[in-house]
Amino acid sequence: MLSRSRIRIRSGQLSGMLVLLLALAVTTSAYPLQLTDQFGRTLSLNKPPERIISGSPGNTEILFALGLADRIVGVTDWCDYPSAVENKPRIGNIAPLNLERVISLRPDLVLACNLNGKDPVENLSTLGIPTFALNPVSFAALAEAIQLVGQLTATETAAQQLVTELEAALAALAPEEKSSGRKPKVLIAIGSDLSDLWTAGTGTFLDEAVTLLGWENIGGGLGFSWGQINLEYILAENPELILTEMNPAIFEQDPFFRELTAVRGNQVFQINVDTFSRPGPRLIEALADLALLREQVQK
Amino acid sequence: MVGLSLGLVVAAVVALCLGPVQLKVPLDPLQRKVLLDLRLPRVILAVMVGAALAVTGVLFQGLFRNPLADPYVLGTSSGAALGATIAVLSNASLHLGGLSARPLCAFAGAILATALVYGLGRMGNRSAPTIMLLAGIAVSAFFSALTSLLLYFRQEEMAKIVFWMMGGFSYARWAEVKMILPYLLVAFLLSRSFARQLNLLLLGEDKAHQLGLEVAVFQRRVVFTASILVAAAVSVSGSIGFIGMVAPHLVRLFIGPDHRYLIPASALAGGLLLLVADSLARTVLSPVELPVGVLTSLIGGPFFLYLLKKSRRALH
Repeated sequence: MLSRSRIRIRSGQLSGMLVLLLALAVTTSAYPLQLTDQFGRTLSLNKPPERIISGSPGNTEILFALGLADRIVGVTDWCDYPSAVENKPRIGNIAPLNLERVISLRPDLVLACNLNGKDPVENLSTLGIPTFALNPVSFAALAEAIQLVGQLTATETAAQQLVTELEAALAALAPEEKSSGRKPKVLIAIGSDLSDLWTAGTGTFLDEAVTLLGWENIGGGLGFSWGQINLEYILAENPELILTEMNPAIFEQDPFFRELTAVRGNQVFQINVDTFSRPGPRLIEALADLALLREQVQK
Repeated sequence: MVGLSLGLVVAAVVALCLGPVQLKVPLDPLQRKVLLDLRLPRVILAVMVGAALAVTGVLFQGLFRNPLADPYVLGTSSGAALGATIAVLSNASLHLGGLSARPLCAFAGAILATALVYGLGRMGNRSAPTIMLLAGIAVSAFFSALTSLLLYFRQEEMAKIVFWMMGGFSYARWAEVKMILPYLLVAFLLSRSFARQLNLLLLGEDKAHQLGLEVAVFQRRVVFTASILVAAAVSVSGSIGFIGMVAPHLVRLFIGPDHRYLIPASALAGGLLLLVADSLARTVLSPVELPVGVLTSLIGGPFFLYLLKKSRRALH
């Protein structure tokens, strides 16, 4: 409940801010531009960047979605989407960033993120490389991040469209009416098999999405984002729904899991956890899939 | 010894009653399952692994006549970690006797590392233990570096491996108990049969030799037995520090250095310590499980220092 109302307030502020900025962009050229990034650092740009380096797969996907493919001059080794990214020069790992490699590509903007860490971002700035950091740890922060990138690269319209889609996908998750008030308990089961079961807790997109759906994540609010929980606790909580990247048959074969209400009632659903762990535009599709899944559950 | 056995029984009963699922007599089928198929194998496995680590500690401390020797000096744990890492990274779908690839590869890695150290240690005859200790450190460092190298290129799997390396029993089932039981039984019996020779070694290698002990042969046997114990322990629980070092020292404070009593008493003490640690690990932050290896070192470290300060002489 709390997190939902927070998001609404934030996105409200955002759209207000955006209208203002769009108005500005229409009347005057936005450059020279001064923007505060999501680490709270300020960056000044005199013209739209032409040589952009992306510091994470999520950043790469945002840049592509904003139609900036031609301006990307470097991506990390982990960037694998969209397929056009194959031809882009590589800068190596997300962390630690190979600063010399980054500099050698002569970027006029490094789009960094929380995964790169604060120190490398500072170091790049100290070396005179314009660096802008995103910190998309929630849907609201992701929407803000997309709009910031839009402002930085003079692609506000595309950014606004993406954010509108994201907000629509989030809104579609909200339950149609206030039901009896009892929230179905859901287990998010991540991992390759049950001997290595992980779950997504507070601070993950999966937890946030499941909460928006009006479900109760039994791995949420336990003080971790990705963690392992006790099997006995799962049995005691007895979730009515399981969202997993494993084959649902695995749960039916396990002597413990097959006792759960979720497994007995065939309420084990396969989801793509990867798309939920990457803060980028594909979360919109992932959210839409989740909304569809809700229809199946309610049947 | 009687006290330890009693303590173990009490701790086991308490551990069986603790957990998120409340047990009420008469037990419903779920409660029965939780008690018999989750908590019981976990309690048994924790005791078995604790005992194995403690006995290994006794064997190594006796063999190397070095109070710092513990189950990991022979590179066993880093070998196991490498094996587990390879299993996870290659997504191996190997299954044997109800066990998945990770414990099996960990076991293989542990044996491989120990065999390597043992092979290198054979170069000398009289100074074999020293060479073996040094070889153990080198092999350890090498295998750890290989593990780090593999992980560096597959950072998304890092959490899995790191958590596994911290040790724990969150997936303890009867299959794990069955797998290591035969190895542990044989190794325990062998260890007990070493008691007399280990006592001779307390007098020094030369004395022991004069008294008719074939030191080099005996050393090999002990190393072999100990590595089976560690490999079995590591394969089901990851690496758990401090039990192997602390348990024997604790017991020695109370009953002295005679290996005939030291070995079984250390086994009991190690089992008890690890059972208590694991029960804490799964209950203090429930439902989040703490890695038991972190807990043993967190509690074991300061406790050991306290003992060390209190009775410096007794530890020699």
